[in-house]
Amino acid sequence: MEVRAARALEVGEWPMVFETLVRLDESGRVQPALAISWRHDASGQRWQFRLRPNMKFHDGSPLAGEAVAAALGANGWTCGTAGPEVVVQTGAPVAVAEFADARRAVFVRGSDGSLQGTGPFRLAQWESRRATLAANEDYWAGRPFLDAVAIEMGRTAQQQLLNLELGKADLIELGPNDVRRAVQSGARIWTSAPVTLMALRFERGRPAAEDAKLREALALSIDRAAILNVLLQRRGEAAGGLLPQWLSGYAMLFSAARDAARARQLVTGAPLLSLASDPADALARTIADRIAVNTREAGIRLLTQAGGNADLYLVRARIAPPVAGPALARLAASLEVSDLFHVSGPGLESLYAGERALVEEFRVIPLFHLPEIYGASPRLKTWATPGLARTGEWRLDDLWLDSELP
Amino acid sequence: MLRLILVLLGLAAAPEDSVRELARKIAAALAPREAVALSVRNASSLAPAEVAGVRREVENQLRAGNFTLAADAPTTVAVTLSENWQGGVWIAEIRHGDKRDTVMVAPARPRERAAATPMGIDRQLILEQPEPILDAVALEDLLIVLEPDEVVFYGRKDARWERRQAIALPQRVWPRDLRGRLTIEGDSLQAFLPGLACKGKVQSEPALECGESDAPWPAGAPLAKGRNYFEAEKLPPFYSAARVGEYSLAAGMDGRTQWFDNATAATGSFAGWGSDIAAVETGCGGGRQVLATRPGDSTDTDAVQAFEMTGRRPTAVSPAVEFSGPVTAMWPAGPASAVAITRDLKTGQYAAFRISLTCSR
Repeated sequence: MEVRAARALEVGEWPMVFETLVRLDESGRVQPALAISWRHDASGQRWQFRLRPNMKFHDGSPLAGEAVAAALGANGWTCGTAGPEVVVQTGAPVAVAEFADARRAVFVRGSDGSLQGTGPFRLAQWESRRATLAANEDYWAGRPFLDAVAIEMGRTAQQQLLNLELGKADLIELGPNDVRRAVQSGARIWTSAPVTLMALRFERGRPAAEDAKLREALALSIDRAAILNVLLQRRGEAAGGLLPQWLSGYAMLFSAARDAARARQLVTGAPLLSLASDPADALARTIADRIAVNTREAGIRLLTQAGGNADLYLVRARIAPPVAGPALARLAASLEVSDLFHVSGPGLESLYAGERALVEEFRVIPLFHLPEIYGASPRLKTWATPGLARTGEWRLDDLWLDSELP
Repeated sequence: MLRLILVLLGLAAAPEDSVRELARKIAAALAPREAVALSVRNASSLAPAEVAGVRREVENQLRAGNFTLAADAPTTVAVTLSENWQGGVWIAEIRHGDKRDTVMVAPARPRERAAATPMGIDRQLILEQPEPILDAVALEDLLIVLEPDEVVFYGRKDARWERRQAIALPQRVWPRDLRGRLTIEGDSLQAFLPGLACKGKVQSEPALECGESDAPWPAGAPLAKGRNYFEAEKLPPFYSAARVGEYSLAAGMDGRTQWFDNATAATGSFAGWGSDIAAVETGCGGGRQVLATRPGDSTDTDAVQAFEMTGRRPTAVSPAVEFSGPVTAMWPAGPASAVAITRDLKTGQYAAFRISLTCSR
């Protein structure tokens, strides 16, 4: 297995290593995981979970209620135990699905300081660009089929494709433009739901960022549909809002349509703006160049650059499911607009109103919702569940290798 | 207060309660005895009968609240039955002139997936109209519809499709069982009709040039002259085809679906599928599935179901999604979905649906 970058292993966000009290299945339904049952009070602020019996961390230490309470308490909740149950006081009403959030994963530090989880794989080795996972022989849902998984990081797309073609890698991360070549080499394509937001973010404090009409004009000038069709090979969705449709259910209320005429009406004599993108992200640089062409047609000149300080940035922000509200709050934080995000009450209406108010500030301009795409070698098989969850998480415990194929 | 907590905790209300709740929220945004124009659009996996039931109940609730329903009323109430991955999201947009209110409710999950099948099948209505639809390609902000006489371009306006432009096709006397296909790659658009091929660009001002052609359709073969099936060398005539790994499937004229290997040698056949099939690649289960219609004729209702090929036999991997009339065409639409065109037996309306699969366990 080979991927370009690991996602935040340091904070326990690998569900195949670190588990949560509950998990969500592919249809978003809550299923037991470390907890086998739960209940809550009428306000949804006090939760009691009964843990799966006889569970152990990877280092053999027992999964005790106190350890679970300590892990969950690190997130700002007040946690303790009551007999065989873990009690969580959240301080605000939450849905049970929020206990499936990877940030709520349960882990302890071993005697050597390493993180110990309970998942189907244990972390056997961790180096700067390589991680090795080993099967957890005692996993509560059954030992994984694979004995071990080696994860290589920091490889270019070309290197990964070559390794897949040569049989040196069984699962690689793909960009939209790599899919055709991967398919031609016999790979199967695994795609998640859109879990990454690509957006433009204005740099606070710069004169351009404080011109509301300029921000709106820039948003209206971008031809998302053309970029999606050509540069992104239709792998994703044009985004008018921050959350994707599959997560919010209301994303179609945000328009992502171009209106260059309206953009031209809003601004005249706009200053030259700088747009920076990640130097290591070739696709982002190409998209930035295309955006500059779009905005020029609307009378806004953009100078694109690879990295460095700029008036605005083309950024990718990971959308962290499973629940729309917390996902939107985290998205706002990662885009540095938390101060503009306010939700007046519970429910989707309030969330929608908060998101609309944030989007209509145009300090962040949503562009696309992009899926995770992986190429799997023909010999990599799945049993009951897909190797890639809808949420973009790897599900390696149901994978096996067909040894008859090269 | 109780209702708020239930929604908040994800314990969504039962559908009938949700309809009443939605109607109550709509009423709260209206003036007493106000006349409204109500529309209901389905953007979820609800079946047409369920959508009709929601509409009926919203109408009943509004009438019971002394509101008047009138198609030409200046105040509009646009109800969209949407969903996210955890359940339904029903939205009503109430417009009084420039003022707009948006209210929502979260009903219970529209339908439990069949436990015996590992995947769900989702149907999203793209467009419904009285004119025949041969094929439709829906992009984010652009919808292109192939009709017998023209190619129609729609743009999005306020979450709805608005007709923007139509390009007339060359006049022909078409077969009664006309078929047509649209493909789009990057900025290039192609339309295929019997004996006719059109090429164009999808830009701010779309253009199309058509000419006589017997070139192969995207199915890999040309349509037989004057007929509604494909003909290819070494293959018997077929209505539609799907590629599954190193094999191809072709829905033949004898009602059987045949297996072919790379050398187009028939390796077997089976019955039970209709004449329209399309391959999809989902990453679920075995990775590749085939969507197939049900056997029947144009007077029957139809259904689409997903199958995986195991031991060269089809195994159903999703429940069947039912339609209120025959599926007149089904074509692949991107790697993971297909577009199905249906004709409602009662209303005669044509509809284009996007069909996709979800991994449900």
